[in-house]
Amino acid sequence: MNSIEQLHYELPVDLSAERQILGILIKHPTQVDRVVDRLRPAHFLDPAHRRIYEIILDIYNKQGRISYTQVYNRLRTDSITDAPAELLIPLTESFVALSELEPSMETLLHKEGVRRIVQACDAIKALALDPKNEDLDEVQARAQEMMFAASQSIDAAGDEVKNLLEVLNKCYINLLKRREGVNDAYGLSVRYPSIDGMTTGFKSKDLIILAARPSMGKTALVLNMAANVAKRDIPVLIFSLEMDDEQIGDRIVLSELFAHKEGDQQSVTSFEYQTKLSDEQFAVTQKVFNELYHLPISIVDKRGLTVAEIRAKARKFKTENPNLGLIVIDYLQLIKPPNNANRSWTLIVGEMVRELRDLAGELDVPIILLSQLNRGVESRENKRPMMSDLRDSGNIEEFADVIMFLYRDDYYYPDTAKEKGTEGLVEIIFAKQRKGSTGTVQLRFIKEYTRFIEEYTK
Amino acid sequence: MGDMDRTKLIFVDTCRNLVELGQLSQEEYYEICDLLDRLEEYDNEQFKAELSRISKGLSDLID
Repeated sequence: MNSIEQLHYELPVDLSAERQILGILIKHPTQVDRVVDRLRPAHFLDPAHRRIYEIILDIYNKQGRISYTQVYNRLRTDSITDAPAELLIPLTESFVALSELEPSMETLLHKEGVRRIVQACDAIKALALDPKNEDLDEVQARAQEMMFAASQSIDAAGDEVKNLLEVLNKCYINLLKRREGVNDAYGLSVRYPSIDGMTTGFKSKDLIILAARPSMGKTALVLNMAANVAKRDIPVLIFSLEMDDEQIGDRIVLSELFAHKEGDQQSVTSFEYQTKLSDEQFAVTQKVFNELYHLPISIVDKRGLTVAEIRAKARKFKTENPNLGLIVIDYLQLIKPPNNANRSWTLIVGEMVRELRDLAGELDVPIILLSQLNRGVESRENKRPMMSDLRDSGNIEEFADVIMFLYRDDYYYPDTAKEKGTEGLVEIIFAKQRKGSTGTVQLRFIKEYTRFIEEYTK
Repeated sequence: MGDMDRTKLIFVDTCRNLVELGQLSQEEYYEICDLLDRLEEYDNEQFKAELSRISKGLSDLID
């Protein structure tokens, strides 16, 4: 780029490449097929070039003839200029060989990408310096979102259309991996065979809703699953909008202490952990701490996060941890809704759920979103949750890829459960699975340790 | 190749001005545009004959 262009536009641009592409397209209209999916009008910074490109695309879409005379006439009839020849003659002068098309396209994609970053930086500067924006967290979240958007959209259209051969190739590779028992052939295993058996692992890009009445064990189950994932060196990001980091840490330790209960001579009870330990018990607990220190679990324990803030933090984390395997959000009803007094709560919640599903897709990870159930469950004879019990549901059901409910008989009928020996028995009800069957599996909940175990290991 | 395109553009521009001056009709103008777009299908003589058919005056001007 020469200094005159730089001075004129104050943004990176290569007018010569813009002219070359337009010249080639007018002279060789069949080449529009190669360009149309990769270049948008915005890739041309010069307004006249952009308009000429739009005209070329319009004629192409209407299956008309692309030629200098046709473009000339459109420039004239659309009253874009009184002197169309002056705009078009430089294109004829810059005509180059067809082989220049690809490098010129790359130049335009690159320049546009850099322009987006420069523009995002300008917008971030204006945002940060605006005295009305007092909330630093909000500013940081929006700035990160702007920069992420600026760096994502370059040549994004490239992989939107996939042919069946491409798709089947991926399916076939997965089929071979499954046949050979390769670990990543399935979704993300949470190391509960009954759950993994139902889901064949949580799939990337999926939004999984785990819903239950309060105190049913939602957080405990999801923390158990998160620890099981992290034990395989797969990073997990937890958004805890209710519990703080220490509470979560204690829960993870307690849950692991249960695993040591049988193996070690000196067991540690939940009560003892939270009061005072003997030297032997302390040694056991230290051992658990040492085992947990290296787990790649990260926690955001801020209350009142918005979806935009969750998105910004998750994007940043994903950039720093490309192999992020799971995101947990505890829980939906504590996410701060956007300020929009004119819309119904159901619509707002639906929008938030949709955005979180989009985030799962964008980051290519499963997201487990915990949700409270409304009191409607309590008023029925059969208190097993149903879809309609999702508080403010509506779109939740539509946008979720998997919906799991937790149900404990002993929560409602403790005496009967004691008699029947079903105390601690938890039904995991798969009410919806976009990529699998519905049904119910059972786990046992050791409440004292906030630990879920397979029922057959009782 | 670039020279030919430039010449065509200048010619179209001239024809357009003639339309503005009322010396060429819209129909004649669009016929000329069409002729220029299919220029490679004609040799010199055929082109002159076709141009003369569309507008005798313009053909004489070129001569």
